[in-house]
Amino acid sequence: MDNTSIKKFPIGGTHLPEEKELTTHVAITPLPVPAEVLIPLKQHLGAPVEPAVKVGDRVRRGDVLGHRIQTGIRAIVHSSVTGEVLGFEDAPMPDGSTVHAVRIRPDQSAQTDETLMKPLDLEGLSAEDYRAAVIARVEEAGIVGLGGATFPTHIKLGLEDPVDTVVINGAECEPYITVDDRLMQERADALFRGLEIVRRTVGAERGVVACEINKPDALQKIREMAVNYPHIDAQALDTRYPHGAEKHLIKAVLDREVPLRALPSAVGVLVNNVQTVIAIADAVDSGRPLTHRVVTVSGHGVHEPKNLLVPVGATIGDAIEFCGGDAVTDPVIVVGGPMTGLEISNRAIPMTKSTGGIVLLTVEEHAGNVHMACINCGKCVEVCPMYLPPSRMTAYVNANMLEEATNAGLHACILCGACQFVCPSKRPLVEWIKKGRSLVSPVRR
Amino acid sequence: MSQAAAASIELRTSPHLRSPKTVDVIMRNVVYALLPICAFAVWNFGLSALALIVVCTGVAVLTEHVYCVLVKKPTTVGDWSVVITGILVALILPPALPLWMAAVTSFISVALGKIFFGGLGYNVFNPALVGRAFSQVAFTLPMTTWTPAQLPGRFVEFIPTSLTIPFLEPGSLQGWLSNVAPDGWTGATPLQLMKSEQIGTEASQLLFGTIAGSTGETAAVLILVCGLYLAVRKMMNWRITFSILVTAALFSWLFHLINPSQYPDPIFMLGAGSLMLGAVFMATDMVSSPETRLGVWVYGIFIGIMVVVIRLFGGLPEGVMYAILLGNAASPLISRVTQPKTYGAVRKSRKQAKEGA
Repeated sequence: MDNTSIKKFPIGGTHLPEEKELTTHVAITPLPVPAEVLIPLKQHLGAPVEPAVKVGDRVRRGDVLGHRIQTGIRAIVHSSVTGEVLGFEDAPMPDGSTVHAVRIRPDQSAQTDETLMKPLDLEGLSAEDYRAAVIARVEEAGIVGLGGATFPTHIKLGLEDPVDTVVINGAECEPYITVDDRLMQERADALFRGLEIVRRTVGAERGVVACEINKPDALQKIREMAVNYPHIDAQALDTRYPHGAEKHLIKAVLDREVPLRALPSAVGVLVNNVQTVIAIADAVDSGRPLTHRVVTVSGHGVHEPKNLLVPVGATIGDAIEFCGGDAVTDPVIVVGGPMTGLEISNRAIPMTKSTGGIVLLTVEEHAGNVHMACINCGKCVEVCPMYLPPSRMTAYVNANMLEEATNAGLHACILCGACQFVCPSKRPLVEWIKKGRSLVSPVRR
Repeated sequence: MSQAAAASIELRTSPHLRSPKTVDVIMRNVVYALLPICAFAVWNFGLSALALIVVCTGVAVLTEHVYCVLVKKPTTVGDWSVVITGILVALILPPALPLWMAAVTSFISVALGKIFFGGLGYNVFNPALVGRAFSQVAFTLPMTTWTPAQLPGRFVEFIPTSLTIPFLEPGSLQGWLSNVAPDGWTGATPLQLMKSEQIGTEASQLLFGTIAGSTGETAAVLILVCGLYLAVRKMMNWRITFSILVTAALFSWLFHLINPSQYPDPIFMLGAGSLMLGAVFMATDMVSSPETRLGVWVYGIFIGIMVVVIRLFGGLPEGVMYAILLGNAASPLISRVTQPKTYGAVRKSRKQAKEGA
């Protein structure tokens, strides 16, 4: 394959302010262990796990805090620090909900104590044993999709649909966020190792690492690495939002269109996030469970933007403090990327496996909430990567014509926010789409 | 706790960033793009053109502002859209039109074309064209009275009819014209000459605009350059302009091939009359054009065909205004039938069909 081609999805999308310069050259630094951590017992898409420890227990980094549930989707939660269990409480989450959580006081002198699993020796295993061994290890390590969806990875790897290509999502199309960018630069070896493991686990012939061209250093690194891996290609993507959306990544890289309401496996593809695959390599080769993740703390509202390796359970406030604190008064704090993330005001919210970024926007750069009438300019239609008519859909929602809204594609929307970004009238299109969905089926949140 | 709950309600949903290209920024840039055309109009037709632009813009802004004051809502003139309407009204009126008639046209444009429908975003038709269509009927003779461009005294004296006392009919221009007009002046625009006598006009005059016509419609190339500025800044949908011009050119070329002595060539078709101004600044009005990707092409082709049909076969020499108004009227229907196919939708239906079989 031509290693220098630049691909993109064909219709829709928009160019956003990138703001990667703030942190693309800042190496990942560990966040010092805070005085206390609050580790939620649900950091995955699914049901919370039951605690496996009790008040007063001494736990080591890597020890299991919670695992068992009766039925359903779950991912094991491990302690990210060595210390004493102080108690259980409800931890606030960015979306306004609360989750049962373990409070632990780390023992500052003993942070090198770590519980590791035995490294897996996969050499000489049959395809079936290889698959079973990797999936079991991924489950034991509590690995979930670290791009933000936090779907348990062992379930994703265990799906039955045949997969011919594994695509690594290094598009990172959200402004400000440089987690995958730095990881591709600093940990490309683990990334390629992890991709090889995933590729063999699902029996795919080919692996692709895709990265947008606004990350030249990361792109060069993965291109260099790909030379040594006969089954893996590096693929450059144009800078266009939302390349990181699974369906659009697949469309861009492989020109396959995932059917509505179907998973990528319907077209023979498995998509994994950069950090997820690195976590798999660490779990297999070093026996390390997922207790830390990389978080970009950035924005013009924070003094020293950084990429941090944070222990799960440290608070958002801890991370902001370590980055020099607020640079402006009353910054708008967004957890996740500024396009799809949640605005928060409570800095005591703990960081979890899903926290990819903390962005402090200045009030001027934040969208605000005053809007005008639709001027029918069609820009929302032009940028919609799902080829939907956002103006029409939201007009239906606001007129309470829910059937028409549904027919116009209300449920096909991926909530990327490109339409709302470009809207000259600043209309809160995404909010209306969400409202329409909740009216159609209040259960299907 | 209740305080915390109240605070959390104020939190806004994603996305948290906005493009800086807001309505007022786009509209302001359209005004910038119209200014060179206004300058040319003043150079071409003199004091009367200047007065026309000032009066029309002033009346348009005042109409919207007074309306906002009367209904006690914040004034909307700050979004600049009414300024565009005012300037466009001036540019599509004959330079000799009495100023009071221009003021009425501008008032009708904003009041009937825009406010009546609910203001910016709700108007079905291009407001400036609504006003012009009104005046075409109300003031038929003055709306078809043309004066030569480039008159020597144009910067020191008004065209006499400009200053007609409000609510009176303007006097005849014959006497004045016999003094100032160049030899051979027939009082006709290139389109009228073509329509009635199949007399062509030199291409350079059509393209650069030193010729009789509506105040700001004559300089085809300048209008195109101004449109290019907006297209490059992505503040105008170039596909509409492009499809109108290409359709009009190809369609008229077809007739020209059949009978060159009866029908004009495409260059004449593009350069004469208000096609360029209409295609660049009027048909592209966001509110009254379709919003789908396919729809804008359908809309442009429709207008292009209608312009040629009206010009060649209609009772009027010029058809741009009615072609665009028809396009505006068809626009909601065009949008409706050109809704895009959702990503992933076709595969799904095929698969369902397969499963069903």
